[in-house]
Amino acid sequence: MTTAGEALLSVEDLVITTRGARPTTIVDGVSFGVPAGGSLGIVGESGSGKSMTLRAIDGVLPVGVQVASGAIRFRGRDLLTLPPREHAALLGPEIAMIFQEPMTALNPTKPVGIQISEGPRRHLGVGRRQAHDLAVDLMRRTGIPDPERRVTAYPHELSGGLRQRVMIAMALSCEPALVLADEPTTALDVTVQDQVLKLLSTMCDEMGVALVFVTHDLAVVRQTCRDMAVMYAGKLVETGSVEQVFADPRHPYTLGLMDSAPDFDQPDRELVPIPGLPPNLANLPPGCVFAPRCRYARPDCTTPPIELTEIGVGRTSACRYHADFRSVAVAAVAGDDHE
Amino acid sequence: MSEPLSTATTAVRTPGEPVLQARGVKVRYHEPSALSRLIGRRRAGRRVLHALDGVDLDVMPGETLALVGESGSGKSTLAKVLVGSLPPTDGTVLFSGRTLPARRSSAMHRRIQMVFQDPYSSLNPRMTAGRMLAELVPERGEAAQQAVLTLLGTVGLGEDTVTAYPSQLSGGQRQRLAIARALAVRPDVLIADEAVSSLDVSVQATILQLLADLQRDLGLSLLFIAHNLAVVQHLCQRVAVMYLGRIVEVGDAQEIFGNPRHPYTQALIDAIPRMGARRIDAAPALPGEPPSPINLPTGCRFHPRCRFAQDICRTTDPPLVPVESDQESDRVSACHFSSTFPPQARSTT
Repeated sequence: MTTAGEALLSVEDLVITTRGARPTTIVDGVSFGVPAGGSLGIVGESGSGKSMTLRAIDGVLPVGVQVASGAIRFRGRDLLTLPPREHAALLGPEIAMIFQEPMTALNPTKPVGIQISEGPRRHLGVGRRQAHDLAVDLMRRTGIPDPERRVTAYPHELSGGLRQRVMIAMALSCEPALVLADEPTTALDVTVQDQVLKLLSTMCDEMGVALVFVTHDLAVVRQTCRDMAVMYAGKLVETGSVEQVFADPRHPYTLGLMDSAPDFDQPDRELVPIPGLPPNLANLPPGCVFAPRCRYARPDCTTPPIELTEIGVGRTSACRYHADFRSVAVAAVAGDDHE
Repeated sequence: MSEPLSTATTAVRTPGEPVLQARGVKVRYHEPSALSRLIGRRRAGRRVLHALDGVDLDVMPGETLALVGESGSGKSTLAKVLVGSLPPTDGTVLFSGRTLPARRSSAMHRRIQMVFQDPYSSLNPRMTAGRMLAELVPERGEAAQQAVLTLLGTVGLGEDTVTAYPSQLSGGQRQRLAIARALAVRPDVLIADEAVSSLDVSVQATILQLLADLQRDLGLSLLFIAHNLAVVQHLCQRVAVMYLGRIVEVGDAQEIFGNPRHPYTQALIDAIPRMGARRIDAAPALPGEPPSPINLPTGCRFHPRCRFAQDICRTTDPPLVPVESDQESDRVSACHFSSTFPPQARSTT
């Protein structure tokens, strides 16, 4: 995490709600910064608001969901107050997005080469002939075999791994400063996931592109990102460098995620599930939102305010007992063993 | 977990005999070539897709066997053949040593049950959990209701679930219900096809725990199909690795992960994202993608992607045979160099 001053992207107190008479808060007061060339992994389970945060930055929130307050500053300019045309002009040359499902994100009626070079033609004034060469070159650099032939292929003619490489080629086509990736490898085989992750990290490093990476897989964040942020029920609960957070998680939810995920390097470690279910966003528990499922909850955890506080250099936690939450004897949580 | 259900036939089987066997199972699909379509001749020039190309596999009583491999390797096709929903083109499936006919009796269908990846689409949305289970349990009337409650308890669902529709349940609860449905007919073998893949990690951990408990308490044989090797390592005792319609390595889980004897197994292991320190090497563990099952490579089908491939690998198809250097274990591998794998001098590509 860096301070807002030097950040390429800085999200400030972002609140996302549903539209309508009784709006539900989906993302509640999220703030983070990404420096130029940095990489941030946002982790959390389904419904934690991680994808919504990412979509708000790209300006592609689903219908019925809106940014209620806050700011998303990119190079100091607030994307939320920018006229739509100026915002659109940034998407591609400055900010690009990679979606989870390339089959639905690619246009099925156009050859992939045309789609890859669409950005450069539109934003960089690249001509038709050059565009073809550029597409072939980008496809080669993203490791697509036989790019001269594949440049005229339609998305359905490519495998899932190749489609995701096309998405990466598209995202990097205008050499943006920031790439947003929403679970880009979740639908892929482990071997292809490994190829795509390594490609993405290497290309971002080489081109100095900053990366915001949303995933539910802690191991993927560990291998791809420098900083990480953990989200739960629409709120950030812990942030810090990947090294620090993995070495010493300072929020019980982060620890819970780590304990419930199997790790290949620790085959004998017992998996400890997080008891209970994530709360209904329309009816959040008082105080700490994680308290009802927390093994280490103390009586005053349900007393507001619970805020994300700085606990060290570049580290924050929303746990009131972040320093020693594990010192409490594990309490039996109601509804244990059920999700 | 409440009192375990009893499985009818577990006791009478001898421990050494596999409960379920695949012998030389082949599944081929014929695709008419563009030319033969054009001239309207259906048989001439048909291309053959080898989904399964001679698979031998033993599932032992009460064991948890994992089936791993990339998409298209034939894992799910093999599961369909074993469960009896897809007749093999060639080869046989044996249950407790008896060859199963192409059309199985409903009694035999009950012995082998399946749990699918997506609990949202594999449960009838218009039936309550109670009705769904009541029509499957062997008991009738009052006893059936009791059996349903026992079943719900076995998979860790509350009694109030009886009146719930699938849409009223969370993803994890639905997968528990899908498991209860599979257990309702008291099977000997449970095949779980990517049963935890679509679940959040914390829920996944509870379902893995449930599967481990069921396997232990009911003496079930579990065939666990998964692509996540970290999950497999946690749950399974034995592992079978598939590549392009063939099994390329089988062995004890600990031994196979600690000391793989096939380059494909090694590559799968290297590709797993770890929670430990960040790895620096930028080269992917396994480049490329599996070749088309229509145009199979000559020789070893893994050789185009294998960084250790030698001349013999391009010409001769290696059989799945015991690894000579591991005589005491029951490891089998389909690699010409399995005894000396991995080679000392690692060539980097």
